[in-house]
Amino acid sequence: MTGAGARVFAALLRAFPRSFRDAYGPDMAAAFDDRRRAARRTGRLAVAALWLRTAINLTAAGIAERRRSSLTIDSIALPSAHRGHLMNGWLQDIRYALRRLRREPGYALFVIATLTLGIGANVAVFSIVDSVLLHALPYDRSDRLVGIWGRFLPESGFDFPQFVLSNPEYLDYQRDNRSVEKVGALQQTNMTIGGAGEEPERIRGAVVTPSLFDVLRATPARGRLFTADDRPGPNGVVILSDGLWRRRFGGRDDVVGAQITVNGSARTVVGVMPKSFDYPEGNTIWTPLYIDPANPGGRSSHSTRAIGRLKDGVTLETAANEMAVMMQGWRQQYPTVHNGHFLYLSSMLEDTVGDVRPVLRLLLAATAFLLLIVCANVASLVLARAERRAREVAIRAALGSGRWRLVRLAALESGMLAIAAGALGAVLAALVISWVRTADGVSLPRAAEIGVGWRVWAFTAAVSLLAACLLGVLPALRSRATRLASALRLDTRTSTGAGRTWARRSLVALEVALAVVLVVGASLMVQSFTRLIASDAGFKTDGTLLATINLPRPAYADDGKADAFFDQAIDQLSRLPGVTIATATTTVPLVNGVGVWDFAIEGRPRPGLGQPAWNAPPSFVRAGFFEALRTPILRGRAFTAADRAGAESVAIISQRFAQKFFAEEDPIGRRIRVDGDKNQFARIVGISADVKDQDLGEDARPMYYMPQPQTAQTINSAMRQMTFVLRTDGDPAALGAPLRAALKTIDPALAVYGIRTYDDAVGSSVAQRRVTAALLALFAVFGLALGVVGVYGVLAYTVAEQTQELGIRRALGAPGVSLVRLVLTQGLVPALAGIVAGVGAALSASSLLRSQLFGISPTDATTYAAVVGVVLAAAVVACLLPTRRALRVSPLTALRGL
Amino acid sequence: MSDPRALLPLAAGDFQVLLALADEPRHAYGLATAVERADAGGVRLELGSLYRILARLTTLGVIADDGPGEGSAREARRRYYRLTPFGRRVAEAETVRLRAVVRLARRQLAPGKVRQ
Repeated sequence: MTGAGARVFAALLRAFPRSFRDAYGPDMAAAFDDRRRAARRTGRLAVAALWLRTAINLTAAGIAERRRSSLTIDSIALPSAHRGHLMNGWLQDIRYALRRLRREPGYALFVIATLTLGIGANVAVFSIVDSVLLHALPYDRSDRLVGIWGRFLPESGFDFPQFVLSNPEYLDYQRDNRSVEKVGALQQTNMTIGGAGEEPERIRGAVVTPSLFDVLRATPARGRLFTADDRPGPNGVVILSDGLWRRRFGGRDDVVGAQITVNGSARTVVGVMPKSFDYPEGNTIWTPLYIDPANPGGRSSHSTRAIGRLKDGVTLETAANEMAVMMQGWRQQYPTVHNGHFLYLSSMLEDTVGDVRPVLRLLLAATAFLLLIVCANVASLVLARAERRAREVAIRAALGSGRWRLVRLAALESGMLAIAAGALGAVLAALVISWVRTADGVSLPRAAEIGVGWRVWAFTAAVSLLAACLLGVLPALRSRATRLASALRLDTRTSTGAGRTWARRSLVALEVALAVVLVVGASLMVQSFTRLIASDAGFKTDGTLLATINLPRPAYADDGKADAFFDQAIDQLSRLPGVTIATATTTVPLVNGVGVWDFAIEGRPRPGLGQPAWNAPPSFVRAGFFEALRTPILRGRAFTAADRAGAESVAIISQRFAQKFFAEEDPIGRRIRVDGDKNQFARIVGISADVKDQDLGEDARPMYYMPQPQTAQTINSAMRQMTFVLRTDGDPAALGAPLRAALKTIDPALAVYGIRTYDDAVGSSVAQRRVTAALLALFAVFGLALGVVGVYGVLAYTVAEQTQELGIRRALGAPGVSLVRLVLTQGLVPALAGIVAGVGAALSASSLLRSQLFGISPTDATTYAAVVGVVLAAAVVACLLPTRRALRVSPLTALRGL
Repeated sequence: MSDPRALLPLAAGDFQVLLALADEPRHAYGLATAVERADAGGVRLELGSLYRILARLTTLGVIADDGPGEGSAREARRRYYRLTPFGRRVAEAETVRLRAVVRLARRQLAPGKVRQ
């Protein structure tokens, strides 16, 4: 054969792997030559037909040869590993294992992809759990740090499990305790920085005792900390955070000693904290707190947060016991104050992360389940592959490969897959972590600290190793369990070892069971979340923009001037294009509040000891508040522009307020006042619908509302920190810039902050639930998909194995229906077993979910039924393809092997 | 590799090749024509498929490369394949197995449907 024909034939031969071409290429060319000569004798048409047939066949056979993993010359005859050249043998084996994996790219890719997802999800969630829950707080000996809290039991008239201290309580504890070497106190507040001609900015600040830094053992990056001589207020001193110093002061070296304007008065910067110092979390500026022992304030005036450092050798338990004894003394000394109210200690780590612990545990459990599913899936795949290759392994052994060598090869192969998956999983985890750290509204405590530490690396390594063992050890165990000779004798296509099938079906059942648990958990969480979002909170957030200001005391010392400012501002804001209602309020449900204030009811004796105290969160609002928030007025009227300073003081109470405090009389027309002799009584003119002001998942609290223009008479001072609420029929976000500009024209020195749509503000308050639900849903979808693949895999394999049996049954006239039943039973029995086991496991794990659910029971029957339906349907779908294949088995196929 | 039954059942093509090599070594073209002649059913072994079978059987030690032919230049380019003693035992074992299968089939299949 010469010329073009030879070249075409050589090109066709390239379909075959090189080793095959090298071995048989010339002979194939010769044989083709022979055939062509024979065909020429018949005619041109025969030659063309020969070319066509040969071309198709060579391509198909070449591809088949490439795909075939076993029983080719180079894969069977292992490269010889000489004794004494150990490294050489290892390298050869690694190359060899790589080659074998390349030959089965589908297998390798599937294993790597699923393991990557499983490992990645686990590493990501684990590193979050590690950083947030397990890592010590970033302070020296942080395990010694405790929070000092007050608790109000219902018999005190309040019900606050965790509350800040009053100054006398703080000072008494500081003086009398023997367990804590140092205590520090702080009050968190917002401050405005920037003076005349500067851009004002509202920032989070903390007023702290000098001892607070000692408790935390913090040192400044520049300058000094506070001393006992530093006093709060104008002309005082401040310490900046690293972030504020870099952002606002350009990281200048001469900032220490510089004068800056805080809350309208000059302060001297005395220090800058290091970047690592973040207490209280997110704080940007510190000013000194001085508690005058001679004049500390009322014992019932709670506003001071306190922390302490336990002395060496003192346990939290010892300190707590001392506290309990101390509290008995306090109770006798101050029977009115300390009735159902006492102090307690808690570890600072618990204070920081206690709230997210159940959520993170839930996610960790879910990812562990996911990894188990992945492993079960991969294990069943590996088992199938091992069965397929049992003969190859046996032949190898017969050709003289030592068993150790074979095990080593298998281990290398799986090791490489696991390493690849581990590396990719780490990359995936890093992506997820960086998203969690920076994403708006994920709102995890200590988010800035989330990183990948040694524990995470150890965890990744452990998970990958586990995967590698699973991948490698299973086939190795199988090769140990099978006597080589018997593997050779066994006809793997017709005889099925009962044990092997049982193992694969158990794995599938396990996968399905785990998937059911995941899907149940995820659908409960998702339903809980959608119900939470859809629940009637008593207000509407759509089409609304929020922006907050705080009128500084020096410039707006006069209550009338403050009132005039709001009149003018609201008038201007209501003229902005698209604005339908403009109003202002001290409290915005789910966004901010002013706390719980005592009140008095006219003509009624105050509640005695042990009776529920008269207190509730108040809200001081301008006209249009209820309309802007779409909170219905159930009886009476809303506030109007006529409810001004000088007019009769009025109030509106919420329905729950009416039920709790006016159970036996009509509240309309009755008068209440904020507790205090100088405060005016206000006549109740309306009852509003209840509003969930703290958490969508909690019941609404009793609330009362008073017009902000009347605060000079009802609380003796105008409220100056107010949030504007603009309702628009257009895009609220577009109103941000016009709002800022409008307020600037009234007072250019005013800091406007927190400009965002109400939807966004509320979105971040439910962000943690949203993220949890979304992650669980993602894990569940993935877990279910893997479960379906598992069911499909085991059934497809079974059908392939039983081709002959099915063919014989066909040949004997078995109807299609009975074949379908035969096949479906084999696939659906493990799936059903898994579903039953999964439902049982999900039910017994339901308590883990209970605290996370809103408006749905963790054993919700509808959800369970739906999940069972979905998983069952998925399993049936997974069975369809193999069943169809079984139906197509022709009697001839079955007999061909005869 | 003491037990030839380890390789059973043989694929149809494999068995045909073994049978064609039973009496004498053949080169690929001769083998293909022998198979086509022997099997009245019209089995045609295309080139690629044939060589995959040859490669597999060689690997299994069932057949062996007997080297190039002698005489003409054309003969020198051809490689001859022969049945190994093990291969002969494999072919015999397959025959024994098929005989058993046929017996079974006769017993199992409904008498009316069996063509004698």
